[in-house]
Amino acid sequence: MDCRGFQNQILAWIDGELTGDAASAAATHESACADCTERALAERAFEERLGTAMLSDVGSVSLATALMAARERVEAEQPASGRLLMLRRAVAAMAVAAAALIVVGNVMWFLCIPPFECAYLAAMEAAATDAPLAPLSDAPANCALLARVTPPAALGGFARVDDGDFMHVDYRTGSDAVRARYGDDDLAFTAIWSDLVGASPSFRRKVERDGLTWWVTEIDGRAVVAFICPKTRSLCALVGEASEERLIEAARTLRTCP
Amino acid sequence: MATDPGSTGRDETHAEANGSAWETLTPAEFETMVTEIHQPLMATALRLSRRRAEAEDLVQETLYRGFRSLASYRKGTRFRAWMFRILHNVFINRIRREGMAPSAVDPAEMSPADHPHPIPDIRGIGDLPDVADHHFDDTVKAAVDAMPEVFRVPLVLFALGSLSYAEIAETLDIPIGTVMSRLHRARRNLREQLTEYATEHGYASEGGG
Repeated sequence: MDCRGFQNQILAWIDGELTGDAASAAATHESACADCTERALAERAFEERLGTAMLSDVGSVSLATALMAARERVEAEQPASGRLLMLRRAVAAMAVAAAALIVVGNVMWFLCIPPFECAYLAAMEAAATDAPLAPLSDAPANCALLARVTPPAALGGFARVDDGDFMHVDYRTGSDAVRARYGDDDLAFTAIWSDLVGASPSFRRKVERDGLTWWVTEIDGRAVVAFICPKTRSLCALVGEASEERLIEAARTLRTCP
Repeated sequence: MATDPGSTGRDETHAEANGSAWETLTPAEFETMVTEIHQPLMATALRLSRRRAEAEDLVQETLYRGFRSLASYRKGTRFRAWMFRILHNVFINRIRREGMAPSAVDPAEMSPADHPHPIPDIRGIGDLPDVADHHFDDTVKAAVDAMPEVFRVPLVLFALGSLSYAEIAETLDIPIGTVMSRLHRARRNLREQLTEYATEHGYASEGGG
């Protein structure tokens, strides 16, 4: 390194920012060159004097007061932050609890776990015990429903004992139904053809018999067997004193009817 | 100012690097360490803002943010650089809030490795003014205060904050070459002005510089 090279890098050198070969070259040159040594000394002294000058108007500022003010400001914020944190946690806990409640409720409803008993089966059971209505005495829609289902004269060996009734089956938004009673010497049941389309089987009440799906339950000691009527694609049910198996047997003839 | 050739002159880097890497400061430790840098912190705030009341506000806000951010400081990193970075951020935020646009960057500084204008030989000033020469001090401060921000900020971070080139680059988020270029131009400008001052006041030695 020559004098020109040294002087080009003199600031980086006195700043201690030269490293490796550059630092070695500068150190070697400085020790060998009296003029550059003198200049480097002058630069260091000058930089130090500049620093002193720039610090000269700092004056007396109370650091203790400034620190105390800063600390108090931070401490004053902390309780608010703590409350905010607690509030956030409470909201989060409530959200989790609400979500859990919704999930549990849906699962209970889906599985027909009390108090979420299968509402449409309960509606069918209630319709089976309603007071009879006179045939064709109701709205034209019910007449159309009766025309579509045409209650058969016998189901699984049980004879129809009266004409079909028109019913209103309470299931959510309400649906209409035709009711017919069947019986033999010992037992009787009611068959209901509703216009409720789109009922989905509840997992808990779903039963497979010979490749067919049924929904069965027992309400107030009466068996309820439901299925999707192949003719109307709506929900039908048999409700009565007979056993579940006998009701299924009776419903099978209705279900397989062309 | 750095006075020890061959080293950074910023010995805290090594001393502080011996601390445990993942520990944070306690408030008491913070206060102790702030005491050591309070004067240069205040001086830097003064040179940045150029107004005493605002400088005191800057330092106050810097201390508050330092306290608040103790968890983010790790022992073993350089406390001084951390605090001066906070100070600079506070200063920049204040400028932005007040709607003052930062100084435009001079395209000439985009070639940091080249210093076409070497710094003048400071020996031309002759004997340095005495530390009691308040007029000289005022001249230095006025020269620094008059500099565009792009040169003034790295200069005060270097001269008063004792930050290394790399720390200044990190603080200002600019390349280290740009830091070198800006520092070079700021210091050359300062030397030229002070040489004039020395000539006018009879300090300058004949034949110097």
